[in-house]
Amino acid sequence: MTIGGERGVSREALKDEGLVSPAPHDAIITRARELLRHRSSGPDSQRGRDEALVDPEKLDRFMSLIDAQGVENYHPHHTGMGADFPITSVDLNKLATDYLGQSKVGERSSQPPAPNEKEVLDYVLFSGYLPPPDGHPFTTWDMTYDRIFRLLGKVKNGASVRVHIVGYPWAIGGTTSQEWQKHVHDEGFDAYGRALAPYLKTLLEEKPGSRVVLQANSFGALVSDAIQARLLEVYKRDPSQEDPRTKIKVLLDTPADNATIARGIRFSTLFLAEFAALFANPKTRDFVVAMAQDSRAFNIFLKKHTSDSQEVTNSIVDTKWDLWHMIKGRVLKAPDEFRTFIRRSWKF
Amino acid sequence: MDEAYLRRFLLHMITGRNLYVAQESKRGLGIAIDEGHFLDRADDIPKWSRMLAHLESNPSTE
Repeated sequence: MTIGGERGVSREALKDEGLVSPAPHDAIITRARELLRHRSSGPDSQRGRDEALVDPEKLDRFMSLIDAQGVENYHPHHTGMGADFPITSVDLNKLATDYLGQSKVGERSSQPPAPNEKEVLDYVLFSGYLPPPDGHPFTTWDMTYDRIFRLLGKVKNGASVRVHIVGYPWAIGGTTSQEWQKHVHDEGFDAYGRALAPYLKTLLEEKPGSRVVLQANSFGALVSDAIQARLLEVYKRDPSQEDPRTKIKVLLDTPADNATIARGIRFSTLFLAEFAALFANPKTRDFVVAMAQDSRAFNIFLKKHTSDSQEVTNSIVDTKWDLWHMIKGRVLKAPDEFRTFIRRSWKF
Repeated sequence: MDEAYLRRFLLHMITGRNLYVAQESKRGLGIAIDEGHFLDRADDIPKWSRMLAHLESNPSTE
């Protein structure tokens, strides 16, 4: 199967490059097929449930279109602070049009309604910390799939909806530098606020009446908080601009939202314990080993195929100040000002 | 970095690496690693499926 439009490559070809870890998208579809088989052979009460599964091939096609837009819209966001953030986005109205345009749903027309300008919604996702080369927009792509599926009802009702996914500068496709690391050392998460607030401001000002929802977990929640604080600071300096508090809603899931020493100790201990647990389980250990093999394969691949022979050379050491500030935690500034919903799936 | 190769690698990221889903797990379902946590996305498949069916549905029948 080939995805990614003209630039797409087959999954088989990727395996030929020496990339070894398993394909999650395929596994999700396999599971959907299992569910469908189970339901069709189950008792009537089970078959009659309202959870009628669509054909797994349709799910596959829809998710492939999400993937393709993610790849196609990927770009580095230049900050002028010694860091470029890898960012991508998915336009849900285009997604629906592309998907339904390919579909033959009975005899009826299945085109989605044209998006209106009355309800313009931008979701911006920030993932947690993962060491390089991870931390790019695709690191937690399941968050993206889930958010997009949940927003399809709004697309159906004619809203104009996009989902943006922000990666970090140390990851694949990003750029970091001594200058950036000094900013993080000196300013902590406020450096992220200064670097990314202009990106958010562009979204807020792009269309009148637009609303932005920030969805962030763990490390990403602290980044999100810093951006909100920066936007508010800029607004208070120049109140002639639109108040960002009227347009932004925030969904946070983080255990790092205070800065006590006790929390820092618990957090770092459990963070390390989690990595230890990853290596203790043979299945997850194999996965981590496969990731390392893939990184090596990618570096060889780049050397072989690119003119500048640039490699992904960032290491976890390049993120030491980011880690330090995450362990220290941050007293969130924004929830008192912005409409914020916080949940803690991690208890510390 | 050559853009085409970067995109090619990103595609691999999606299809093969970071969204790792084990075919076999403790519950016999798919499991995705997200931030070192195990998020069971298998439970989400019926919900995703319903949303997609809703997108496909004819407005006049709703």
